[in-house]
Amino acid sequence: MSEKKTALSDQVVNALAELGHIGAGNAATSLSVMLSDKLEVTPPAVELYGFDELTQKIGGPEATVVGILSAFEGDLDAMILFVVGLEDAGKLVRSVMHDETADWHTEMGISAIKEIGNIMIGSYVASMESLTGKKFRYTPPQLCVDMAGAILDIPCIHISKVRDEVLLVDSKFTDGEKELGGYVMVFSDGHSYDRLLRDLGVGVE
Amino acid sequence: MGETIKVGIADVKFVSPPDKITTIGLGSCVGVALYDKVTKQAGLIHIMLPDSTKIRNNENKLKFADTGMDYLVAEMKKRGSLISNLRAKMAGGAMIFNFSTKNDLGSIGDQNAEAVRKKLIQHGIKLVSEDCGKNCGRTVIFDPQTFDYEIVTAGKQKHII
Repeated sequence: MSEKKTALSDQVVNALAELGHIGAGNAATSLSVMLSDKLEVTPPAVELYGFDELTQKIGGPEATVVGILSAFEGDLDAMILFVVGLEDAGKLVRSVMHDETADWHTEMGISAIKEIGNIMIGSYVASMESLTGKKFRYTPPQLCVDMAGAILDIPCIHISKVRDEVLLVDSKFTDGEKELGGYVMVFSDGHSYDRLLRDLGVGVE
Repeated sequence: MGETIKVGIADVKFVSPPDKITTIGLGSCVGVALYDKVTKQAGLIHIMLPDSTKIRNNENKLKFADTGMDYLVAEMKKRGSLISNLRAKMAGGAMIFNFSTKNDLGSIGDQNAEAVRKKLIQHGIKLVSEDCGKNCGRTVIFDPQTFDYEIVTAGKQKHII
C-alpha cells in the first residue's frame, strides 16, 4: 500500500530550514570548540520522507549506524535523532580526539560520539528555544549502534501514530577538507508540529 | 534460483517457491511469516503498532497487528489456503532504546508481539516459533520451500527458527 504524501508549503519548508540552519550552526560552533578547529556547516536540506525512503537515505535499512535519540517532554510531543554512519562516526571521533588512529568502537570513542550527539541535539533544541521563546525539556540522549531500520523504528512508530512521513533535516559539517556526515531528524506528531510552526509565525493550512 | 522479495515498513507481500521473502532492519516492529504447509505459499507482514483502534492515523491496515493480521489471513484464504494448513513464525519486537518515561513506547515491541500472538489464537493458527524481544535489530528471510525463517542480527549473526 502506498504512503500518502502531504505537500508542505514553501513557507513551512523555509521556516523548518531556518530552524535547522540555526540548530546546525549552533552545533558547528560548539563542535569547533571541541575540535579546536573551525567547522563550517552547509545549508540543510529539509524534506519529508516516507519510512522506507528514509532508511534508504541513511544507507539502507541494514546498514549499521550510530543513533542518538532524545524524546521531548511536556508541551512538545516529539523526538529528535542524531544519526551517523560508522565511517563518519570514525571520522568525527578521530577529529574530536585529534588521533588519526582512534576508533569509535572503544569506550573513549563511544563516549566522544555520544558527546557529539548531545551537542547536536542540545544545539538544535537551543535554537528551537531561541526562535519560539519557549523552553523544551528532553530526556537524556540514548546511544544505540544497530541496523538503520531498527534504530528508526521507535521514532517512526512514534510519528506513525499521526503521519506516515518524517521530516529530515540533513546537515553536513566540513572542516575545510573532510566532510563530516550526520543527520538530525526531527519527529513530531502533527499537532505539536503545527503548534511549533505557529510559534515560528508560519500559518499552516 | 528464485528471487528474494522485499517487504517494506507497514507492508505485506506474498511468495511461492523458489522465491523467498524478506524484511530488513526490524527493531520494535515485528515480521510475521504466515505460510501454508500444503500449498507452500507464504505471506510476510511488517507490523509497526499493536492496535489500530487506539490510533487516529489508521488508514494503512498493514501498520497494525490487529488489522494487518486479519488482512494477511484473509488474503491467504483468498489464495486458496485452508486455516487448518496455515502456520506462523514471528521475529522482532525488540527494545532498541529504553524510554521508560515516554508513555508506552519503551515496551512497544513487546506489545506488538503480544498483539500478534492474540490474533493468531483468535484465528486458530499455530505459532510454530518466534524470536522476539531483546535489544537487537533483525533482518528476516522466509523460505516457503523449507519453512525456514532465517534471522540475521547486526554484525551478521545468523540463526534459523
